[in-house]
Amino acid sequence: MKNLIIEKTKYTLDIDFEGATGIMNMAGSSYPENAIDFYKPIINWIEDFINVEKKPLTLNFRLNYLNTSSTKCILDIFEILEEYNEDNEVVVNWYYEEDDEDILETGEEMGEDMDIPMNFIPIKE
Amino acid sequence: MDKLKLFEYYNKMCDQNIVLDFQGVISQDLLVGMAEMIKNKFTQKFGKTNIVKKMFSVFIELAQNIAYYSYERVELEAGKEKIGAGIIVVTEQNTYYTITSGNRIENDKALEVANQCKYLNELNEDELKTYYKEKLREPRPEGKKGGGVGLVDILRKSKSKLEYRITPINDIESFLVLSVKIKEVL
Repeated sequence: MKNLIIEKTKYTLDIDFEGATGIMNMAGSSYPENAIDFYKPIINWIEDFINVEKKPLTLNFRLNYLNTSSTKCILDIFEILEEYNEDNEVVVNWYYEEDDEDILETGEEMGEDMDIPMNFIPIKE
Repeated sequence: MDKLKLFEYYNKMCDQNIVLDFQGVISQDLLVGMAEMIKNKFTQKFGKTNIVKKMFSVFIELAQNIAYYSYERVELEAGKEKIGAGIIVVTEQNTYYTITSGNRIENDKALEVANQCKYLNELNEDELKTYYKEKLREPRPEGKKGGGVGLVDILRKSKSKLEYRITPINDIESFLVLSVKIKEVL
């Protein structure tokens, strides 16, 4: 399966998804003008991967900021992954800057009611 | 305003400790520019602390509310979706900052926002969290761009209350003001 690469801007994430390994890296800040439009190709790629590859998926988040409409889109992704996790292996690694309590909290709250293994990994500056 | 009285206007704004004041269409480029300016300015002052992230975040949510929901909408590029116009002001006091937004809004929606503010202001931190999580998981209303939790997020990040005022303009619309304080020590 093809990789998905989207270069980051000040207000959209750096996306680097590898079709061969199922490793998905998402990094940066997200407050696009229209979050649904930005996350659509990302969600499409994940759905294609799930239908075609049926292999383990690893998501690495290294986020600085998510506005609320982006948070909702990431939650949409988590809901897809939760279902996939029933019969496949999914791991979410949530990297956060050590003193960034807001982004840690965002991740924790998204994971709280989800049945997906999530690791919270502090990054020292 | 007499165009050559801009110096008076400028002084008046300085007296009110205005960090940023913008009135007009909140295009994405402008929003990003202003948000980055706030981040950089306050990082200079406070270092990379949580207050900077909170200012950045509250500013973006309020500015995007104007862009998404203001009743005054302007077509900036032919064929593209119209963008909301309004006013957003950031002021600096001794121990706190205030971010205030204003925009035109349809009367029935103004009432909805007022009721939501009233309701949210009564909730404690745990209740806000529960409400936030519930709302975030609700399906998106047709055609709505936001997550529907902007105001809740603002309250949770600022740990303060939402002040609001609605001034009726005519049978159709009102002017909505939302204001949030962010304390230096959270």
